[in-house]
Amino acid sequence: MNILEIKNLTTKLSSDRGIVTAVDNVNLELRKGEILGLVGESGCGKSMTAMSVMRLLPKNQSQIEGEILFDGKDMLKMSEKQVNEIRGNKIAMIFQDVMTSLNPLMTIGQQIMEPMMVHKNMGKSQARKEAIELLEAVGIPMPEKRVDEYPNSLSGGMRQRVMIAIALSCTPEILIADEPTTALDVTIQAQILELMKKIREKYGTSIIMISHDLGVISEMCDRAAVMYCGNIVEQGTIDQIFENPTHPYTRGLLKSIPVLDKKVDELYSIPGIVPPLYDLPSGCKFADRCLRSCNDCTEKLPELREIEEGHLVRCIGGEKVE
Amino acid sequence: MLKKKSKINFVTIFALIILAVVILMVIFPSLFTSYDPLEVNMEKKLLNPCSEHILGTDEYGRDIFCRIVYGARSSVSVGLGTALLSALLGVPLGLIAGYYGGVIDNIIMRIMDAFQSFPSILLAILLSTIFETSVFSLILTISAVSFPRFAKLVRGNVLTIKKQDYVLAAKVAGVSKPYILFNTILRNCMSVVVVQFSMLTATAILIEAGMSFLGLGLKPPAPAWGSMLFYANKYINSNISYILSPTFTIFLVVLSINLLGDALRDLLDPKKKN
Repeated sequence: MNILEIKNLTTKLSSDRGIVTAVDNVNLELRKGEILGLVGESGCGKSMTAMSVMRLLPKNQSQIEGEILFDGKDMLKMSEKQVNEIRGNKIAMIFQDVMTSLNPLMTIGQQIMEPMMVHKNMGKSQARKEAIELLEAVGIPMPEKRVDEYPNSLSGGMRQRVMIAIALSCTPEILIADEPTTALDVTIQAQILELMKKIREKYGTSIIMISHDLGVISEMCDRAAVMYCGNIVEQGTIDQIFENPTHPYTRGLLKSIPVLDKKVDELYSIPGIVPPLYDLPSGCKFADRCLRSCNDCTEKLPELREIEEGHLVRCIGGEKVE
Repeated sequence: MLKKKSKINFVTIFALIILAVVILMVIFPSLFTSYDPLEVNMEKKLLNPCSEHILGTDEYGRDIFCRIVYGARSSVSVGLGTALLSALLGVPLGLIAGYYGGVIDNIIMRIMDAFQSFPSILLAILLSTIFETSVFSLILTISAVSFPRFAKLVRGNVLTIKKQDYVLAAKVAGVSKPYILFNTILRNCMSVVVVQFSMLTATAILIEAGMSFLGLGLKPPAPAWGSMLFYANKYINSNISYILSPTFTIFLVVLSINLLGDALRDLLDPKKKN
């Protein structure tokens, strides 16, 4: 069952260099209890997709088209008030920068209690009790004491746990995690990922995991979508993407991961650079950097093709080239 | 040797004591003196400090210490009243201008510019010819020229705060815009507001004194520190303590308020707690 369906989502932003298309015709569905990965380099549109879903982009600088069906209702057609009832309640989000995402002048208890008091009309003492339980659930020691502390007395990993506690406060159906572990060091990263997996098991929460770290994606997700310049270029189950990567971009990304026991002089990188959004090539956006592009590639943007069940690739070369 | 840094230092305690005394003077002036501030006694005019009149008497034989005590009421009312009125007007305007930006920001800020560019003394003369000078009219006059500063300061703060991730996080939590504005953002502006509030209280007392000195302040015989300066001016040769007493009082009170503002700013900063 799909809990969230994104249909033909196109997000245009106004910038100094004119109007740019940050998210281009993205179709995604999130099933209940599933962890869906969104991978790609910085600027490929993965965060913008999340921001569009949450309707967080400033109205006067963005234009969103398509449909975002949550429980069958189109979020893009909702009023601000209706969206507010979903945000933090049905769909919650956690951010990358844990050092700045907590209000420095509110105790962490107050910040966890806030969504519960807004959405569930919970009284203060009840909310406080729940806040302590949540802190315990996300693995913060001495929650009765921590609940009255300010964010500045917590470490990065603890802050991310608090962020997760805030996101979980109303037991949302969907959790959008925008690079939740990028700002943390590796051991803490593993703990946070473990915590998120536990949350999925315990509450049945569907998670959209945004990351540029293929390791995190392969570890965490059931399915993943690879994005490049606003397009989804490949989509499938984790096994399909990692065992049988088909789009040249996905292959390039996988190839550029350093292997521990292999000594190399120079790390592999995909030739060329990501084209700027205001100056995208016509046709396949990856054609300039692709080792096997042909004339057809630069003429028209390839459609997503299903090469095996549930495995979609946006490349005309597809499976036949190796 | 490293010592634990104490939160409240000697200077703050000094300021607190002075302000506590002033507040007592405002509420219970009769605790400090048995004289009547309006009682005229021409036989005892312009006495130098003596055991009976510790700060001497003025040109009508009224006890100067007594008039300082009773004068606290109008000075403090003007100071706090101005700061309160300016904050009530300036803070919401600054919040709205900074948060919504664009046309709204422009309209509000240009109106603030207009208010600020009006010469305050001229406005004071104008208002004092229309209304009879009272504590209330003084508050109105001084607020009219000082609330734009409040608005601009808050707006500037909001501009940086609204881009912070925790504001986005609050939005994600699904709280309404007014809540974000008056809770999440205002909370983070509070240290600036508190400091500005205390500085404005002090400034308003000074402006009131200045205006009274120019004869635009409270009319006699009501006791007020500023108008005492105005009249004492002429008797500098007969009784030096007549002019020095209100001067030092104003100096001490203004200094204490500013010190308290500094201390409050530090206390409100959670990074200095724990």
